[in-house]
Amino acid sequence: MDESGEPVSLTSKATNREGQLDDASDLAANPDAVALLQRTSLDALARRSSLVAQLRFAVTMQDLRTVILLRRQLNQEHTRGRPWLRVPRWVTHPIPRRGVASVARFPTSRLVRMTAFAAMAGVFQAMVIRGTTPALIGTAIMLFLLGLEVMEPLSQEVDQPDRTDSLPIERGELLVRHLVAPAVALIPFAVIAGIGAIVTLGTTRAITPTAILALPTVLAGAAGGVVSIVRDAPDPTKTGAQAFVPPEMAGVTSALRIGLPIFVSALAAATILLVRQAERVGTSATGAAIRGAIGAVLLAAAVGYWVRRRDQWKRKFRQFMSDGQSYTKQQRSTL
Amino acid sequence: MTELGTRQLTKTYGDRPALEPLTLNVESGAKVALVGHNGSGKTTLMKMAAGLLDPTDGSVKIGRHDAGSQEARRLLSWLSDTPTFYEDLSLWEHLEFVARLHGVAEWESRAETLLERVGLEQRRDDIPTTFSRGLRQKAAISLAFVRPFQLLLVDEPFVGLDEPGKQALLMLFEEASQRGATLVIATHELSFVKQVSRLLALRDGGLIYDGSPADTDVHDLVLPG
Repeated sequence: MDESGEPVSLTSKATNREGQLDDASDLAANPDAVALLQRTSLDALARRSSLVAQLRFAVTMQDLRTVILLRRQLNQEHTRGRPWLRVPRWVTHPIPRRGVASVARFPTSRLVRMTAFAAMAGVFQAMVIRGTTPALIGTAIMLFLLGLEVMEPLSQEVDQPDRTDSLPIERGELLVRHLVAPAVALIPFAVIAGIGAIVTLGTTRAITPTAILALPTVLAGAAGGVVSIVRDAPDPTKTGAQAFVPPEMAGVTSALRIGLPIFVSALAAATILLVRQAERVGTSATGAAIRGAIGAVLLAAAVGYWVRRRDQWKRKFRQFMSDGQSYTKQQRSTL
Repeated sequence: MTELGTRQLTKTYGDRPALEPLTLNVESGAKVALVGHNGSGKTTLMKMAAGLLDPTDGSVKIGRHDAGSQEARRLLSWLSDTPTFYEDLSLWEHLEFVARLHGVAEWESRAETLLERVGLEQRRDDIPTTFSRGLRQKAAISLAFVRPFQLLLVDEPFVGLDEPGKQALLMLFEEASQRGATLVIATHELSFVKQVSRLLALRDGGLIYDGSPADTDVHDLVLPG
């Protein structure tokens, strides 16, 4: 600031034709410029460029969890130091308690983002009812992103495998119990999605089917996020032997990695088609919504069961393959 | 009774051996120091015992249970030199989560005492991922001791700790030892070695010394081959 209180620019002193400072002495003579330079942290810039490089790499590797973490770091989005609420005493089991503690520290920016995803999902579902079937993809993506945001306790467990593997509980059981608190946290977002749908449709006839279908759809849609988080987790059932995936298969694996979670979310969103069909043929929309809700709940339960049993299934499969290899070796040696 | 037993335990990274076949028994209640130069295989051995790293060959038992099994995890507490924390929990919430999963009924008084001893009582509501190196180590110490254990595996415990922190940790080791727990401590702090009953030294993945610390010059043992 100068004497009149106006901000002083770096180039307010003597400059050459290109508008640059004449020499370092001009800079040194300007205390405001020196102060400004002192506030410009080269460390922060270097850190940012390093984060961007990592982000590019993570995008190339289609590693969604890393992309999300790096985006949060770039945006300086930190967990709240002071939680929105204390964990109620009646939540007695340590894993849901840990989940509530996590959700209670969501930063405002994440809550705003989640609200937007939920509202958009509702709007897209209303568009499907009105006949724009491809809007299902929009709903699926919104619910998938909502799932990735809300499943923070699960993601944290997946991010810290050393800590997980020190706890006296099987990993599948631990991970599935981490779904409880985020599932409860999704209730208000299901309400937001429902309001989004009803407002877009502009008719009170939509209230009952929406009330029935909103929460199951949001839960099952968010299960797509769960699939993505758990599939990206380090695999504790892997032995030291490196799995050699041929390049031809790598493309399929990558496509599955991205596509399967979205497919799960899309299946959840597709339950709205039952209601649309009922509207078209003049049967009960409420009945169709109930059938859709049951389907969505079954889908969410199936994903939960997969999370619970995945490690066991993979271990059994590896054992089966290993036994087969041993048997083949034995047969060859006897020939 | 053997608290930690390895049988022909081997680890290789690619073609490079990190730990040559090692057969070892650590008796219940022993206080053991594990020394060796950087890359001698100390952390590899500790991680395999903690069930965090698969052996290439051989086996590790914690009591009668395979390392990494749920029963072994109940018996064993692992204090790493690079502790990790959840980014969404305060230190107090970490303590609650770990203690309650291990079935500690009076966890609050235990946690309070531990935080006081390591000097973190003012930081209990802070997120430990934001702590400095030394404070993270203290937080990890409180997490390792808030739960019951019969075997404590510790990797480089003194790195980054200030003098009060070191003293608090030594006291906690002493108390655990008096309670009958088995302690295996990998360290470069050679002055600490005098306080243990048994010394193990690794060089280039092989065991070069197993005996009393009084019978050897420990400085020779930590030189690379």
